[in-house]
Amino acid sequence: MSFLEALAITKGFGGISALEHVDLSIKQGEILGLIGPNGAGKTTFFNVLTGLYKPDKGEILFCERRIDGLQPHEIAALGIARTFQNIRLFTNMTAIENVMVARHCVTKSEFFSTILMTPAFRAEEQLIQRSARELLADVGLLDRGNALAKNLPYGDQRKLEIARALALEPKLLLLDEPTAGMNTTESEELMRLIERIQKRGVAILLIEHQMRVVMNLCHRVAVLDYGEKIADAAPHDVQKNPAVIEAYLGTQHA
Amino acid sequence: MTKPAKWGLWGSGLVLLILIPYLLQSTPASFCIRIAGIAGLYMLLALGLNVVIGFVGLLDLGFMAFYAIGSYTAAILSIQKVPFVWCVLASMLASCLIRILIGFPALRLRGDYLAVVTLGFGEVVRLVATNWDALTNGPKGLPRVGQSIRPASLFGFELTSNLHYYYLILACVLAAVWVCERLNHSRVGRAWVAIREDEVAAELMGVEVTRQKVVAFGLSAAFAGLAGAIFAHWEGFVTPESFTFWESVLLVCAVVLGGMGSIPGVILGTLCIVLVPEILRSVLGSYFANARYLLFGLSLILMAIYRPQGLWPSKRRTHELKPTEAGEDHARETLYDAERK
Repeated sequence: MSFLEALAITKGFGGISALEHVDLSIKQGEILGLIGPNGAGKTTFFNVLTGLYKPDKGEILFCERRIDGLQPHEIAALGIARTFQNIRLFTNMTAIENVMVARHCVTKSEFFSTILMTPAFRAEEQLIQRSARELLADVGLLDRGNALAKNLPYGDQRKLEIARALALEPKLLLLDEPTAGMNTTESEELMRLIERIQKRGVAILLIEHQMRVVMNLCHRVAVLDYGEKIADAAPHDVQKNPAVIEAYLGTQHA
Repeated sequence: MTKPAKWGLWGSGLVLLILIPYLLQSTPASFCIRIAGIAGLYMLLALGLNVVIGFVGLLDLGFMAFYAIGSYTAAILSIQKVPFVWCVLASMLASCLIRILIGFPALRLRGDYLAVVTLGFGEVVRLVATNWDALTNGPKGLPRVGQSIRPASLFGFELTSNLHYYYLILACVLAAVWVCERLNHSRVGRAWVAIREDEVAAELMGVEVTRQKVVAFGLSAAFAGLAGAIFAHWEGFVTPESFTFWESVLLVCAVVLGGMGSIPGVILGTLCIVLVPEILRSVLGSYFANARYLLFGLSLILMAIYRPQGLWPSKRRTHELKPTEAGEDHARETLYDAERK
């Protein structure tokens, strides 16, 4: 059963409509690819899902609950985590701290328990550190945990962003071009990581331009073009879809 | 440095801070105690301001307003013969509440816009204090003729000399440092720094940005309220002149000079702001006092060029990181272990 359901999402900026009646549903444990030419509205769709933008029309149901109109941090707490197309780490914090920050909504120490160093605070702090360490180990960054995020190489920054997103214990993970700027080996490695995450029962929505990644990884692919969904099918069917070919390559003049 | 060595260093530093003023009190150098006390008050203020500027990254140019609110609250209550401890608590509470009330609408603004609002509020408070004769006695200040602010007393002990106030302020600064240090490496402090680094990313990682900003705002004002209450009792006299815009700017100067977000840095910065003018005044003569802003301006420009991170930059704590042993993995089952089965 689909646990995320976006119904007729419309979002415009001034005269430009970035999304036009987009329907999209994701099933539990599925890897769904979201592709389309530049400017098709993919990242806008992510921003609507995560609450950064309020949709003009349409509704979003997550685990049978309406989430459009909620604050971004509320949506994050419900279990939707994301990464960013242009990496947005907390650059002057260490790698492990980046992950620890994201434990925020699954922990609850507040101001006074922190100052008084209550046993509950200490226990929680240890748990935060421990899970952050596990997550870093998971993406293979444990030995770089004390490095400032800005000093990590590009590929590691991408991985750290994923580790940070996983720290929210999401049910749905949105990845915005995770393999952008990576070489073949690196993106290969990242694909294995994404598969591992999916096996834990986390559904993944993936914006991607590398077709090799999309075709190998995704169970289903949705295609956006000029803010409209023009296809939604298994990878191989989408490859043959004339509308998709037209969107990418233009019409054939014979 | 090993742990015992560290504690030894801190301990001996503390002993010196307690002993030196005690030995100085009946020498000609006893005026130093007063200067140290004033430096301590500024440290309290700068530590409070650092929470907002250094941790959360919100520029505040009117911080003296909350020092003023604290001072006036304490003065008014003390004249009504309210005991010192209650005056202090009321001052902290008043500063904190007003700050939070201002914060809710103001925190919708970012960066320079917020700075302008805080600057404006700083001036508003000073003007209110200057003109609300019925409450603050206007420019003549509190207490009015025939009234008095009684010296502070703690547990029946009356603080009468500069040395007593020095010890009180020292204790408060130590407590403030401790609070800042605790928060800096906790869930709350990490959320603050994350907001400073990238507000949008922090929000999307589940941090309630507005709420955390309001908490930081309130805490910083509580520091200012505490400093204000001590100031009012020590001086025994409060006028609006103590809370000018330039004082707020000096505080920002102290934080930036020392290193934003760095607790030792802020203390060092405050020492520079308070001590350097005193030293230069005794060397160059009293007309220098007017030129000190020029000097601070110059030093900020030089800092911006050569050492933008401050004299003692903040450093994120390093954690002990070892690969988890195989046995440990089974000890605690998480979502992330599920795949290994």
